Amino acid sequence: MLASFCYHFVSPDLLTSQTRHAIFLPIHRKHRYAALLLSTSMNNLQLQEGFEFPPSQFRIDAATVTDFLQATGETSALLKNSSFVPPMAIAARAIGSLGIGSLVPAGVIHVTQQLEFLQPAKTGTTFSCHTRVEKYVARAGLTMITVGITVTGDAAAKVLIGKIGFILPPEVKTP
Amino acid sequence: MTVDLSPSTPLPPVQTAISQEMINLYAKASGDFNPIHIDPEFAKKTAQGGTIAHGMMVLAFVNNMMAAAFGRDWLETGSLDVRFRSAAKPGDTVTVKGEIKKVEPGDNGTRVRCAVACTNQSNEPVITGEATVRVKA
Repeated sequence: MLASFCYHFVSPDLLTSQTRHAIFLPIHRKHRYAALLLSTSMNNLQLQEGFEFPPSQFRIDAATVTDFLQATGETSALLKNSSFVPPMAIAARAIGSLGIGSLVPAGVIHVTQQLEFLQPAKTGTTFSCHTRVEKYVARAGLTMITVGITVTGDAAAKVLIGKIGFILPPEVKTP
Repeated sequence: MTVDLSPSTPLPPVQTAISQEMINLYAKASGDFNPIHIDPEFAKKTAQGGTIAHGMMVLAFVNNMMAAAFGRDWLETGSLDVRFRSAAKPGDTVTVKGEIKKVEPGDNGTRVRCAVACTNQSNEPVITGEATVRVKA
């Protein structure tokens, strides 16, 4: 609880890149608080092209893989009885860690998704997600952003890259 | 791999009934706890009128179809390029279909492009797009 409280009240302006990085290290529900912090940054109109999100890190263990497989109805033996992390679970966690959905709850629309799986990863891997705004277009009252993600695993090997397209609701001001 | 690598070959479809329990579990696995997905009271007041599944959760159904058809090749070399057309809700049954569109032999295996689509029980599109995999010899 104390940690959560601190996350809420740390001003983003006071954070160095190292402390931001540290805040993104916690796993599970603490991501939500990190997301709130991130959304503060985004409301500060930093979503221009080239804006790089603070890197996030997350670990995917066997229990998370089990939850993911149950949630998605995946029953193939290829994933169910192996030590591999489903690449879609990595993508899900990477996107979840961005906290984009917390920017304006129920207002952000996820419209497009590109993903490319580069190599498999094993359970227990700690992943790093690097995210950058690649396109920012404000037109006719709508704001469309394309965010590029790169996820690396052990030894900084790239495991997944992708692009996510969002439409922001009109109340999110453009820069 | 279980499919014939020829253009127009359909991929074995995958059908999944979506429940709120699955959505809650997906939220836990992904770390995306947006209330539009998991809080019925909040979601009731939105334009959707109720909770909706994460788009990435429905996209995982496409992944399931491709993994079943292409096995480990899909997990190691797969790519997706899709558009989310509408939201899927608890109680919906989503059907994923695919068809091989193009087969391009190359030095590092055969590149197979597939059209993929998810529809709900009313045959409304939920996701449309393309999946590509490099099938090793």
